[in-house]
Amino acid sequence: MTAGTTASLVSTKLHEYGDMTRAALRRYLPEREPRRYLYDLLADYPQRGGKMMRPSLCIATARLFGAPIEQALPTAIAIELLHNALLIHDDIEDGSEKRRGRPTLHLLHGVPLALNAGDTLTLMALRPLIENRTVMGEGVALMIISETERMARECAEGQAMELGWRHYNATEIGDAEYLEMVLKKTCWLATIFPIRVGALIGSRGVADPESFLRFGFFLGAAFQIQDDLLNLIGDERYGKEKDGDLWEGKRTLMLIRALRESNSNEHERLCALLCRSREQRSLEDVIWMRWLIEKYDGATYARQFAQELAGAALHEFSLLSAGLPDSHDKLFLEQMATWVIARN
Amino acid sequence: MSYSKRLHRDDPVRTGPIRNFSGLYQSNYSDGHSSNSSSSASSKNGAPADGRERSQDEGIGLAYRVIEKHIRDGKKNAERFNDQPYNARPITDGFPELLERTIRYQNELLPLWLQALGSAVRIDSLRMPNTPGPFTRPESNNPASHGSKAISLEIASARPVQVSLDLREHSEALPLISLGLRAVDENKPPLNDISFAPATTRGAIRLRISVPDSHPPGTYSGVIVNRDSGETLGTLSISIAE
Repeated sequence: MTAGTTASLVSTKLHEYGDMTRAALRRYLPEREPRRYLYDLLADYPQRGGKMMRPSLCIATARLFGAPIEQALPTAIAIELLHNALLIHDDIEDGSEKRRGRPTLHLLHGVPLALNAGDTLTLMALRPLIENRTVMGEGVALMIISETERMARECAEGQAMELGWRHYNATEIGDAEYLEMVLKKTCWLATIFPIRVGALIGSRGVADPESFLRFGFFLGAAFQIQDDLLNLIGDERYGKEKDGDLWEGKRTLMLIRALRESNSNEHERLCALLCRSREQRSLEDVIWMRWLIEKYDGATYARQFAQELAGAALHEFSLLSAGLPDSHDKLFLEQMATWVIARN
Repeated sequence: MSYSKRLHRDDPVRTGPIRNFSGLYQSNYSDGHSSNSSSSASSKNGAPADGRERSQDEGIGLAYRVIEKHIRDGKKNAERFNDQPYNARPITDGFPELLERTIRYQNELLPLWLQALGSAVRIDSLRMPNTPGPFTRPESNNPASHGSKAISLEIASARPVQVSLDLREHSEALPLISLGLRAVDENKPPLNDISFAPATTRGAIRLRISVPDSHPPGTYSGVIVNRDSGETLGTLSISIAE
């Protein structure tokens, strides 16, 4: 298997399932007043593109078990709506300035309108989940709603951990705490939840969702670390603000390593910089933080960590899928482990 | 011009880029679930004590420890929300069990209890998918379940529908009729185009349902009775999507 074939199959499937989800999603975005203040805002982030990894994972896992795409589509739409809703809120909470190559929603329309749009988008995700009753039956539909509740709780806990670290300037964070935060904040919505509900749909509620936790975690954690790396070293294809994580004081694996490895003077200065708000941080501060991360090989350390996690994801997937017939979807899910660390 | 000792750098550890992605997956953590690797060599926060070098076992061991703890915590939380055992056990010949089942069957046939018991049965089937229930419950898009219950469904509908049929055992041979399905909302018209017809093979029956295109979406329920005796034999519920 070469990197080229991996990218080819993964990107083909992401396009295929992504386009389907995007087309079906339009039906759930009302085209009525107040468009300027609400519905245009709801449609903004979904229209900007995105990788569509989350709905694709859901559809592929459902198909892995033999379900037709139509049965997974409502849940895939709900996942994408929830993802975009959380992006709006995340951007406000992080004070982010760019999303998918354009200014964030709250910079374009102000925090109150953006917040309201995010709330509405979250509630809009309920509609396709309710419609699962007619597609999947009440039992499976209830299971998916229950999974959604769990995912929302885990996400909120992870987001609280990260925001709390920044607000109270936590500097004694280790890799284990970082992984736990990523597990909750990123992995549950990005990988664990789509895979778990996909398995429930495909098996008509028989598969045990707990079996998919490890694969989803390793895949999602590798994805997040690569995302953090791209924020530090990515090129113009990366749609977010360059060095945004440093401006926001995010506790990434690289920053945690710098905190851990730095000498006492460096440590003191870094803690003082992290204590400042984004507005108080200067370009020189950010440049110095980058230098410190480079000094302690932060990028290499994180890259190696992500590669190891991708390997673990492959191992877990081989255990999960051993009894399932070979298919494009099986290959796609397997190759996602390599794709998440190779993307740019 | 001085000829001082010539500067000599150590040979580099590697002389080319690392491109062996495939080698990444030939790691030696075949027992990936063991979560106690290298803990003594790690610092208090899960990173290696020297901070510079870290074997693959350490990173993966740490990640496995995090996810295993998460799974344990998830189980604890689930127990906090629901600590009632499901009492799933094999059916025995004991009198109490037989009495309990008989009473339950009778109760489920009473139209007054239809809605509440219908929900209970659905929750049971959600928790214990392999536990056989007292009634057949074929779903409209699951052909496998139709065949096993000797009832075939013929649905004429332009929209997605979900059919829920509860029928007393051995009722297939009796003359069945539906008295029409009604919605809770009295403004919605009843669904009347429902008929049972004997099938051509092995005594199986066919349930035919026709949903007019203009019929309002919603859930419609009603009873199935013995045409000759008027005895209630089951319930039929149809949910029509928008």
